[in-house]
Amino acid sequence: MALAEICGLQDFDNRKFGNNLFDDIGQYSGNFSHHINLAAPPFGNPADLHKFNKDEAGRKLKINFDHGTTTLGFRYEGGVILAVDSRATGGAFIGSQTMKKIVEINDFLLGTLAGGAADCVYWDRVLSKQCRMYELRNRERISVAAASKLMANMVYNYKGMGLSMGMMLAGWDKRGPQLYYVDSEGSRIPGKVFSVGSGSVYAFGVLDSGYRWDLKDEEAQELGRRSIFHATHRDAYSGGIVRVYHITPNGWVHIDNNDCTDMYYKYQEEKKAEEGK
Amino acid sequence: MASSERYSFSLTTFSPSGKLVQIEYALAAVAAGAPSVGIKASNGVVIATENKHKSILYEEHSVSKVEMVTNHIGMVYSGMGPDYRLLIKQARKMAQQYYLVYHEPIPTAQLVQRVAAVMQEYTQSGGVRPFGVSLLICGWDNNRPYLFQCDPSGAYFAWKATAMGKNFVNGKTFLEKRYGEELELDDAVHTAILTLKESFEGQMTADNIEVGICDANGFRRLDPSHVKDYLANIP
Amino acid sequence: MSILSYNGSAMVAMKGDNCVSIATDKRFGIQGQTISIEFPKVFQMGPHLYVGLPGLATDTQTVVEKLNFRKNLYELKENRRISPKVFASMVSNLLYEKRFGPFFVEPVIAGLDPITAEPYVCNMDLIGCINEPEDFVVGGTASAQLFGMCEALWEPKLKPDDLFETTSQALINAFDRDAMSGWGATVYIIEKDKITVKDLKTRMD
Repeated sequence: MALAEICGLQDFDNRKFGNNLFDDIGQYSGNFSHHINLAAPPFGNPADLHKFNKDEAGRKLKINFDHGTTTLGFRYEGGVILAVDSRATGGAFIGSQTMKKIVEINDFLLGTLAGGAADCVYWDRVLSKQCRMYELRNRERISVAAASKLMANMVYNYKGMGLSMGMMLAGWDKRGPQLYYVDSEGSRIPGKVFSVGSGSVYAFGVLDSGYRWDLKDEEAQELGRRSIFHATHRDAYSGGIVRVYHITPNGWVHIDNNDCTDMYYKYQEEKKAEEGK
Repeated sequence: MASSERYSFSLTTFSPSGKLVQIEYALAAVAAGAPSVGIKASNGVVIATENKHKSILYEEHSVSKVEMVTNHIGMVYSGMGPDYRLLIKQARKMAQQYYLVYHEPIPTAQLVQRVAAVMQEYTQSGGVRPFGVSLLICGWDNNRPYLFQCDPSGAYFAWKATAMGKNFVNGKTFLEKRYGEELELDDAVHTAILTLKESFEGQMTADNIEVGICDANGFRRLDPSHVKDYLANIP
Repeated sequence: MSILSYNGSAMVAMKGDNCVSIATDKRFGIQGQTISIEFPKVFQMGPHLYVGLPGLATDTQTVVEKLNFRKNLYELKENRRISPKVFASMVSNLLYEKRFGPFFVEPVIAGLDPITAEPYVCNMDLIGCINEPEDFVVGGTASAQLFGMCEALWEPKLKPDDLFETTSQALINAFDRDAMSGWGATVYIIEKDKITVKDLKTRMD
């Protein structure tokens, strides 16, 4: 270290080993106290991160995010339905069949998760904190519009640095049932019907043909369930369990979880019975 | 090349009476060639031939007529030596080709079929003449011996015992008398030498006949000292 | 992305006590998109001989045609049934002919010798390097998972019923961890005087 000090290098590396254990912890877990205090990459401009996704031989350094997913959400007379699959893949490998892709932000707000799992979970957690802070400060719940704007602004700060998320925020506020799409590119779009992820094209096929504003609750839940199911059947990167949530004026309700295998053979039976008639 | 092919016709053409005289001439060349015999025994098969030299100056055992095709197949001929050399080269190549593709030694019947196909091709192609040889091909596979004769026409026959070349009619008659189903290989070698002796002119020695045997251990040409032992038992 | 994993497949063959098994998934997909769930990838080449061709689906079909052609010619020429070992050499030879522009299939062969009824399994890479182990062979996009399952489940001298169970469990649990394969499975149990073909009920996602 002596040489470094003679050369005046003591402040050169801000990650240098401190003597104080707590300083060290603080250094590496800044986001415990402030969520945007993420450890900076060990070089000048963090936005240049994308230049470091190749190794010295020019090969791509691969981080296999959870890109394969099917999630959907739609508004209708009776509230908002969210339905998602539960498969997590890294390349073609299936890492999990029981992942929770709907995050319960608070009793009136749900977020769906597609893209980088860690990114989604982390920023949903931050959002959940922010929403609670808002509630304590203003003695009323945050609107979905405001919550989604918070989210969009937060991730916009990291645009181009490799965040990967495509999420839906759904809730019920003063203005009724609400549904927003927010992604890491900075989009924030309110809408009636959304589907996100690699299986979204298949889900849309079923969803669009069955969607009406005046659906009954059971019909709406079944539509969401069926749409996800058909997506899991066609899309290799979606599967596992279909989870359905319903947002009512009294907050969200978890309707049910159904294994895709059970659903396949159930629908198969129904189809056979239908043909028999 | 292309133009020469276009104008080259097969020399083997039908005579008005429906014969292919070129093939008959080829068979005549065979019948004039040195005699050879083959006999199947219960535990192997033997092939033998005359290898007489016109001059005492000739270096014996320098060029042999009994040749190995592959480990378990051997071959001998009656007729024209140079033609035989081409066929043995082809046969060896076909045996190796078969092993390359199937990783299994070529069955004797397969080799015979393929050699016969080559001989047939020379009866129908342009600019060539039929082979002036008949072959005796012996082999051991499927736990049993095989003995085939292959003619210039491409026809082939499976024999228990046969003779070809000069005096083959006498040789065959002799074999018909001496052949028995339960013959052992040693007796078969003895009989083969006796058959050659039937028409042999002059003194038969280990240096002017060749013998090859094939059994479960594969094919080998007997060396002169070994042949001498057999000759010692000949009256 | 490798051409070998463009369509997705999972295949396994195992030796048992006087019997062999071969099993395959049934998916035909284009990358993540599942097109068909009844796509044949295992073919009968003789009374006791099967070949599986995991890999690029178009080559699966071409190669099986070419193999049938060569096998039929062999059987007519030699007037006998082809043995699994000879068939394997034939496949290997066919593949190596295309050494510098290969068919993208990694064949799996299972069968009993037509004379001795000796069990035989082997597989090879896409240019025909033969691997002839004493226990089992695997192939396809789920091969890593299949290796794991087979190492854990296989044991010597399995009777036909146990062999069926072992093969099925190995296959199903392997491709349930692979996004590119699955969607139904077929298992063939080959015995001297009986061939059993069973379709398995599997996950369909």
